Amino acid sequence: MILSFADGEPFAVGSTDYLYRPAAEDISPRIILQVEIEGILLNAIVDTGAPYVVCAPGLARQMSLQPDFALDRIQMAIRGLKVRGHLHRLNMTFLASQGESLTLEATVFVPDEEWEANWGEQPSFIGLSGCLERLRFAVDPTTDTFYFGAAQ
Amino acid sequence: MAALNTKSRVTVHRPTPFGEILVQLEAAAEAQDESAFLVAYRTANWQSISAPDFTRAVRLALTAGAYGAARSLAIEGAALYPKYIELQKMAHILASPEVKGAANQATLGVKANRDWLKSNWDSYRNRWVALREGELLDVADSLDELVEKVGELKGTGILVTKVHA
Repeated sequence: MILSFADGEPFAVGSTDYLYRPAAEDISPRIILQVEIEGILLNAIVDTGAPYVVCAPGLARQMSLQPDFALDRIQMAIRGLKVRGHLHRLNMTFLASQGESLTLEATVFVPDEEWEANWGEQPSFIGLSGCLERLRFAVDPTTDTFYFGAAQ
Repeated sequence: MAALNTKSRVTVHRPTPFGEILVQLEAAAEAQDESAFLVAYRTANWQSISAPDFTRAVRLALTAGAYGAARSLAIEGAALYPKYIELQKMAHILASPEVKGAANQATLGVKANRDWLKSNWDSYRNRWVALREGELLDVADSLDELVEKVGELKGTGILVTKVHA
């Protein structure tokens, strides 16, 4: 069932089943969603404390991104590390297992390839600024369901 | 005739030269100090800043972690200098996310993949797996090895993910 406001107006257009498991070296479980970025299906952690979408460099390589359309030589602080990379504007889809999937243009940071070794096997992140800030979202921890819709 | 008070002084507040502000912005970026960046950012008269200085300030804002300021600077700079391509690109990339639309269908494979991972997590710890609609396609010790096995990922609906310990 998709969430609605009291007047019947839908709060969300779709919902998806998330995984609640540790990611990377973290012991704490995280909300892990399947999303599609530029045609690549991947798991990403919801992290409202992070800026932008941060795409793991190994998976970003599979997207064949065009550096000419990106901001290069960007340095950002990610988990206490200064990381160099490119900022892109990419299509990202929240895939619904109920209701409708939702596609948006989001700001995505991709660490440079020389950072791949340091990046290790950290996952991708879905941050607030540049992505979730324009979505309505809600979590039902009893069913591991993530609801999403466009903020008007 | 009233005597002139030669000791009186008039204080003239001159705007801080942008060069000085830039030094402060650079120091804040180096220290990744968002608060210090915003203090310096608010003292500048951005209407009189050149296009290259705008682009420099946007990059410094990103390094400082002042993401809202980075967006504001990019948008303001792009409006002031509509022919300066770098600023147009910055404004486009840093703009608020834009919802493109909803697809009127659910993706059944999402739940199937999630259910497979929940059921098989312990058996595949520390390995990379490739799934399609809840079916295991292949397993490997690294992403590169897995991609070599399953081939092209783009547009295939194949989920590749690490099963973390």
